[in-house]
Amino acid sequence: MRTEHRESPRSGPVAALVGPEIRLALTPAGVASALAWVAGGAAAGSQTLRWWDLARLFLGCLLIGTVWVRLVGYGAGADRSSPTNPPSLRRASSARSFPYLPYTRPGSLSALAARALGKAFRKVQTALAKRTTPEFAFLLVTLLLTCALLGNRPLVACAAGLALLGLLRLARSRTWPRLLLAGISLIAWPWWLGHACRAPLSIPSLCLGLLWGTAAGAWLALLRQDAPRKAAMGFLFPQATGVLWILLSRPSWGTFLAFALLGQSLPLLRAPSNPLPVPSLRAVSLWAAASLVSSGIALGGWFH
Amino acid sequence: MERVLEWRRAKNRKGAGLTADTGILWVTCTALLGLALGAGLTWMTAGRASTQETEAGRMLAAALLGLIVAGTVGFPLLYGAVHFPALGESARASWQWEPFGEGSGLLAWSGIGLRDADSSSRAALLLLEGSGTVCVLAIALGPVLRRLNAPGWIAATVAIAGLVYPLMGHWVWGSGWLAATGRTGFLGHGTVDAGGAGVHYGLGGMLALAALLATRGKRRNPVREGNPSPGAVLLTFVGMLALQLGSLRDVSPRLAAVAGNTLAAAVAGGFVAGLYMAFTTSRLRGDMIGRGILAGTAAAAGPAPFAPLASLVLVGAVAGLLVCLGSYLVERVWKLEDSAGVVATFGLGGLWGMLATGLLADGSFGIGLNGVGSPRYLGVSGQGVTGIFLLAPGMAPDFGQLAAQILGAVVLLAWGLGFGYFLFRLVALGNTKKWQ
Repeated sequence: MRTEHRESPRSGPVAALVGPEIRLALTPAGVASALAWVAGGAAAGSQTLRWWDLARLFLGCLLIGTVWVRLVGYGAGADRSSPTNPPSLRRASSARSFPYLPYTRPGSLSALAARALGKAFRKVQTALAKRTTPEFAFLLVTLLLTCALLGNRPLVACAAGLALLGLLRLARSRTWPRLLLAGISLIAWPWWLGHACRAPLSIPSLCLGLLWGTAAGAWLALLRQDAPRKAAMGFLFPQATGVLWILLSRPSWGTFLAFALLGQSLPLLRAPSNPLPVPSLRAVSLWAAASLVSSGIALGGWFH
Repeated sequence: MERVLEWRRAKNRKGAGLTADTGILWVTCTALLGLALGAGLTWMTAGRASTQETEAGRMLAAALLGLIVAGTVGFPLLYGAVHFPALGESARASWQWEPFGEGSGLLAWSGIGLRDADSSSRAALLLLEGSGTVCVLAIALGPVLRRLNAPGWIAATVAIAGLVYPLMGHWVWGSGWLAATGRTGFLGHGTVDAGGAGVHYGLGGMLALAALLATRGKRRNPVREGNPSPGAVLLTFVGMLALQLGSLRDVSPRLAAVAGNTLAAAVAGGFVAGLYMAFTTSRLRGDMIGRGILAGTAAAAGPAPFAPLASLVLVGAVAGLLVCLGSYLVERVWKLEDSAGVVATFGLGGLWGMLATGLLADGSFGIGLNGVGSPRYLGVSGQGVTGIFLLAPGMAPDFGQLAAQILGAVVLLAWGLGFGYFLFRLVALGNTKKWQ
């Protein structure tokens, strides 16, 4: 996994999801996804933890934080090396004709055949390069193998995740659906997977994961400076719904989440203009991360 | 060693009398006819008219010298450990050096001079091996004869006829260590090379390559066109066929099959080479067709007695393709001046023939060869030398034979190319003529 230094949130890996210029790498997007995985696992319940659960937790963090986020990047078409324009595709289009057989003279049957074969070969190569790259195939195989190792339910969830990636790929030309699906892929799917690893997925967990996914989509829009006010509302509203829900069953955790929501709301609503200042975004992201994990813990009934 | 002798004695008892006489007659005739190979190759390799005479003269002199060396040193070295029972000769003691025990024969000796030719059977075999020596010399020296001064080509002739060829021949034909790998290493029947695909043609081709590399000048000379005369090709082909049929050392109905197989391979080789050149250059190139015919013949020398006709067509076709690719590699890529294409024709063709025996031998011939697998082999009664594809009904595939053939080819490559390069570097020191 490549690591990349970033100078501002706009050129960071999260922004890379929504802009075609920047390469996606392990960073806040990966950390957020890994946290969503932990939160989903916590939402599954507070039964006794065994060493195997910890191993799975670690394995899942690695899987989500690196492999999955990279795959989402491919799905969003954000990466230069993604299947939209991989090096293999560039090589394919610039490749010369099929190698000539020894002694081949211009105009001979062999030369004609080589040219025809070269054309056909380039077509196949281009088609293959459009569909996949070695890295993409590697990531996909790694994901499938790791999910298979985690259990049957994660394997099913993996299939759902791949379908989600397909949707993301289809929607990449439309900004808002793409952002929403990217948010769901980055946060909701890891949540669900984390839950499915420990217990069958419950409706409350499914919904809470979806709320967080929606909020993540809005957060991505916020980073892109696409209609910041609207994006800020889209980020805060799903969280508020979740907080209300938790407040009804777990008032203590609900109170904490309400405070965390307030901590996020103030910088966003008080921001004077575009672009949003970096310290504000950083503060919001920290509060949001704490809320994400806390909501999972609250839903799982930990710390009575 | 004892088992081999026993097997040969038994065969001798069974085929005594008329078979021995006709065998001697057959070997004598084919050996004499085999000398045509040298003439044909000289015709092929001789280039421009101005140098043709000199080259032909040198080749003739080299052939005569080679025959003398083969008679005095080469023959005793090659067959020092064999007693020729197949030709009706009674067993005779001789010396063989086996440094690692039985089956590791590296060197043999049966006395200097022509003493070994004191009987008709030995004289016939001497003729055959003399013919083989001329064949190897013509292939190895043909491309470089013009470049060497008299001391150079004389030294090369003596070394090839007196050491390089007899030693390799001893390892494969004279109960040497390669032939014994069937008994000592469980590699099929040991390295088998019935008609000299490896020992004659492969070795000659590798020596030619070594000579070309060792005498390669700094100046880039224009690549001469070879002589594609059908007469030269035909003469060479007749000589090769005679050598191959003579190598069977017996008159039997199998001869017709071997001749037919060889012809089929030659035709396939020529056809594929011609087709390839027509495909790539839009014209038929006579020299390439000739090379294809000869490459097919060289390759067939290995599997012709052991495989059916269809397999030999395949062998010839592959040889025809190899000769085109090999010629391109040698002449255009490595830029070696091999005007007659002997490296690709004989070197590649011969090596492919050795390997083809391990791939395509069908198991119906060569029962008990080299003292292995008589009367049963691999649990099958009457199974002879067997490859892995296109086997006769009921035969079991033998991967050991393929391994033995690969080992033989590797040794041949190392001996021909490695030792040959060393030899020609030595010979070429101060003897390489400037290109005129």
